[in-house]
Amino acid sequence: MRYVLRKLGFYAIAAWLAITLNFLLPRLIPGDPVEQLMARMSQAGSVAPGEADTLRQLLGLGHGNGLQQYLGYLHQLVTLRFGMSITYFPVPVTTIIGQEIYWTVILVGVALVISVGLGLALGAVAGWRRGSRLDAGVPLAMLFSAMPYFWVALLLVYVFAQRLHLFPLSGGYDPALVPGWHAAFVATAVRHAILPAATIVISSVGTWMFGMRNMMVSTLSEDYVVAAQAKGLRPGKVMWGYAARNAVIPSVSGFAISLGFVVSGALAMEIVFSYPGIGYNLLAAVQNDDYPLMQGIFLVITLAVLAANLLVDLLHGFLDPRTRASR
Amino acid sequence: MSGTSARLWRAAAALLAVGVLAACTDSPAATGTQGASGVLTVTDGASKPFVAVFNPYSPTDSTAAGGMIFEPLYYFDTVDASRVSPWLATAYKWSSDGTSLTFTLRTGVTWTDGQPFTSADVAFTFQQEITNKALNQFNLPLTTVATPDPRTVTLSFSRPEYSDLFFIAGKTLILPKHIWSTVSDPATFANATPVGTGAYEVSSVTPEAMTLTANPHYYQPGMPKFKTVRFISYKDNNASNAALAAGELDWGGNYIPNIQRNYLGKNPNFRMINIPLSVAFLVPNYRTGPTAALPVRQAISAALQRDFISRTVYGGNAPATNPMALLTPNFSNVLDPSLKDEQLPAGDPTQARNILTQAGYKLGSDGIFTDPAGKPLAIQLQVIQPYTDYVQDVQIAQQQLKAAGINVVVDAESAQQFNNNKYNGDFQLLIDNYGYTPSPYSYYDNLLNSALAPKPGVPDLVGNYGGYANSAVDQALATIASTTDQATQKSAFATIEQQFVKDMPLIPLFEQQNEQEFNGNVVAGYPTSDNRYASPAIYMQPDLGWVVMRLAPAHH
Amino acid sequence: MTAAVTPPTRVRADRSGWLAAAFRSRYVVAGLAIIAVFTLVALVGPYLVGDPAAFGGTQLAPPSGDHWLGTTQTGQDVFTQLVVATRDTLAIGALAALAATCISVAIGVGGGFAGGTTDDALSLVSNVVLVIPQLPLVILIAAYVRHTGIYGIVLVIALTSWAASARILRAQTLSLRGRDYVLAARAYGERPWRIIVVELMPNELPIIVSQFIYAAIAAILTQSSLSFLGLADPSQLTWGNMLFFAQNDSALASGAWWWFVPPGLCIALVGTGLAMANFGLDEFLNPRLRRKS
Repeated sequence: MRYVLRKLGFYAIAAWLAITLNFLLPRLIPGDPVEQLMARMSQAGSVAPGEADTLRQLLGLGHGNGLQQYLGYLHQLVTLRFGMSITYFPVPVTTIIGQEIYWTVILVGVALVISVGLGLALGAVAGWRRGSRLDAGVPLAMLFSAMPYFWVALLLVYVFAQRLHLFPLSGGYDPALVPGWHAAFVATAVRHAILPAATIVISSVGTWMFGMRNMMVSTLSEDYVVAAQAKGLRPGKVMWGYAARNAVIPSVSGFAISLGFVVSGALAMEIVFSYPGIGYNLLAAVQNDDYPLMQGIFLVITLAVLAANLLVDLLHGFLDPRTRASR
Repeated sequence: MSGTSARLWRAAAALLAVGVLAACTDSPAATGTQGASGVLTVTDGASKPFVAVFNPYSPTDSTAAGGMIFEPLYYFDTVDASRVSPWLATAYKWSSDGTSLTFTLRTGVTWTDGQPFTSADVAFTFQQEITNKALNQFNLPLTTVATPDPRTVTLSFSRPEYSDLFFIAGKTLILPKHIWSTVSDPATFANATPVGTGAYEVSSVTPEAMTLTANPHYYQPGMPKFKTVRFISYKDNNASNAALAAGELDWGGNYIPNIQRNYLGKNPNFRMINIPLSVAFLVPNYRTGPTAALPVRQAISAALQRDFISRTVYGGNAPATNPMALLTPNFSNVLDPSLKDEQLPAGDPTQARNILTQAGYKLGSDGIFTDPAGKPLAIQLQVIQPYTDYVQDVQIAQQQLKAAGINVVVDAESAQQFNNNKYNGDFQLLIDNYGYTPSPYSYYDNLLNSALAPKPGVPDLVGNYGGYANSAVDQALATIASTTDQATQKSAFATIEQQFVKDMPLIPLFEQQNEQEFNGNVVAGYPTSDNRYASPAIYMQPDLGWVVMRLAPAHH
Repeated sequence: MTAAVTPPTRVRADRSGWLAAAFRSRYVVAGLAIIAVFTLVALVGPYLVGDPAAFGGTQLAPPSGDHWLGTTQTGQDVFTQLVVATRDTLAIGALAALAATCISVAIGVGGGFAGGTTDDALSLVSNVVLVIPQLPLVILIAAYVRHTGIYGIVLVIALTSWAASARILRAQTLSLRGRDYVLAARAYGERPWRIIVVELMPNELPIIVSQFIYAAIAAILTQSSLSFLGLADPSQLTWGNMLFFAQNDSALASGAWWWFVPPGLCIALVGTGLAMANFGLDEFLNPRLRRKS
């Protein structure tokens, strides 16, 4: 119990630090939203002298000193009101995040699960049959995981969409349809999701595979596996029931950490496929100095990753008492 | 946003407006929309998902709001400054001192909810600006608004306002009083289901697509011709270019590299229209550093081979501009006849070296000049990172200038840092462009007016970032703003142009390409270089609305 | 916990052992061979080819005797660019990995050894950095570094990529600091920094090397991603920036595979070489992975 409390306290401090950084970072980026807006507006018609001041008033910028802004920000967090986005003024930040996050969670989540599942399974088999032909596929997997994400994505679009016309060129669904839970929409969404998901799987499956292979190989020499084999248990049972089950534990924490990279990794995919999602909005928010949107997305990502890590930490503590003792 | 051309950024912008008065009539509008048919699929280069915001005050509202849904009083043609066409108003008249302006409104116009459009709507729109300063987008010195009758509106100003006519009549979008007067905070009103006077109504908005349908009661006979207009958003130009090439888009405004192969060659009816709307130039720091010396600016200009840059980077679609950086024929009405044959140098390193040598610069053994004080001639040239075309331009310029003995260091900055440096005058030389305006006064005023120049701690978000100051130019600008007399204006413009050539406050480069692609299998009636009836720029408000209602399904 | 043990000898034996053994692995040899070839190109290549910035050849020409890998949209020679870009690409990878590893050693090993509040504070910092989205951090840092030379991007990558490895090193240090020989050294009254450098680091070296290699792969990939997103200095000639320009000039759609494919393949090859070296290293780092021969 002491362990759990200590962990919770630790994560609470980490969360507070992250939240405070979320407040500070955007404000350290040079310029302000009005500068970015004026720069864009001057590229779509002439701007009038004095327009900048009007914009500042309209957007309600620059109220109070730093401390007041910080307290206001904390208050917004507690009440879950993040204010209005500047990039999508006057749409509330929560609306934008709500609209986009499903795409990220569903597509990236599914792709990640496929990638992890496939990688772990292949890794387990490769480790089990060390020296077999499957094991020789390891360098190939390395090549895949060393290819830039966006490069893979662009090649896939070119070959499968532009040349072979097997999949749509871009987007998350047929633009003539309105998103909703009906058959026509789900069908088009699935069709649009295949190439983006393939990109994620291709570029990330290798990493999971080696990790698992190596853990599998080292687990195989553990006494209980040797004993299980000696007892004459079926190889399949030893492999999955004994070796793989234990070998997979380190990958679980790897999974929690990798959640943080989901968003930035998916960003390149979102851009190449013009796929909906939260990553591109984060980029747009940063480039527009859109503090409210940036903070909202930051917070969602940060808290999700913190929560995943906390969960894994706690699980570890219960699964492996040695970890608890050593801290 | 991996980038490409200035175009990408342009997209998100929206500007809009304010308005007043109007008269109305009860005669139901004759409509041409009974014949409206077909779907027009376009991309305005929006690089972010659509949201249902049709609030003209929002700096990031939908492109469609200005022109297709809400309309201004007049259309100012960006491709021909001499042309101003009636939109919601049919006539305007200045008072003799320029402090009051009276509009006569069109009759037979209704809002899309059936209410009549009157002078009360126009008056309400402009009155809001007086009451709520945050809505005064163009910083107009409005004092009072009067509506002598339902068809007449008179605006009064605290100073002569001739020079702002474009913003008053051409950019301010007229809003329905019966809707907006009930809105508690117009600044933060999303207006997801807008009621406008325009040719189109919003049908649906999803993150990926925004669909508009023809207004069946539109007041212009025979317009609009397309029943449905669908906007698609893309996060990257390559995706929209591929969609254009596949015929999935009927109108796009992206620069397509190698356009012959990647677009025009795909179908015999694919067309590209290039009518430049802005001029690209190098902005020198006029006050400090190496570029403050006129011979250095002249030498840079003399050394640049602009045709090579246009051919290499823009497929030949960015021809060299003139020494006045005056877009022609767009602004030909104010061109000084004595300068009409002036051309920029073709690019000759020897000529550049001669200019520097005569000014006392010495060519060093390393092939680089030193200034009269003995300092090597090194110039930092800033460029915005994501604009790959500009990065390529400056890399070519770097080589061409090196041949002339000028050492250029390219400094590619993030958009934020670049804008910050630009607005604060913190640079030696940078590449930028300006235009997209039907007003030559506004163009030169923003670029050259000494009052706008950045001061320490006071950034300048409009123009003249280099800090040019010339009292003759300031005087000429003031003259143009104080009169409607064309002869007086023309002679003042001539003064500005002559001073520009003499001082070289900007180093003119080329006319910024403005390639628009049209799928001739689907759409007809778009502006072409033979029929420049409007600016075919899909990212510009309200020009987009003016053009869209004139587009027709192609017949084959 | 008898202080009489004298483990340092054993440590040294171990050290030379894993290194020699590593070289016997075919993965390590193959991996190092790939790295060696690219390193050689990075060192001498730029002197053997022409000016990569020279414009003016035929635009988008396919591979030929004059242009082994064809030309770009602006008529620059792709092969020349590819060769010259090797230097900065590898330099960015190596320097960023080195810097990130130094930070992670300082924070991971230092914190793990010090224990107590220092450890708590340092591990808090690495955990926070780990959960903060990397992208805004990158953009923020990029805004504050000068865009001349490669150091800006090196700093950006190093500052955003050390945290995971610091965590691993900390865990390793925690398990080592309880070992007999460390306790012995403490009992002898050795100074802490000496214990870290002499006792801990040599034992953690294989992990540190392995983390360095991972960091180098990640740095090269991150650099190319940042280029793709338009967040790196495009005037720097790297494989990532070659892809950035190729992509913006629609190289693939134009059929110019010779411009788009080689930089990506080079990135993948260097990454594979590094990963193979690491994989071989792992086998010897962990005796259980060693092939029974």
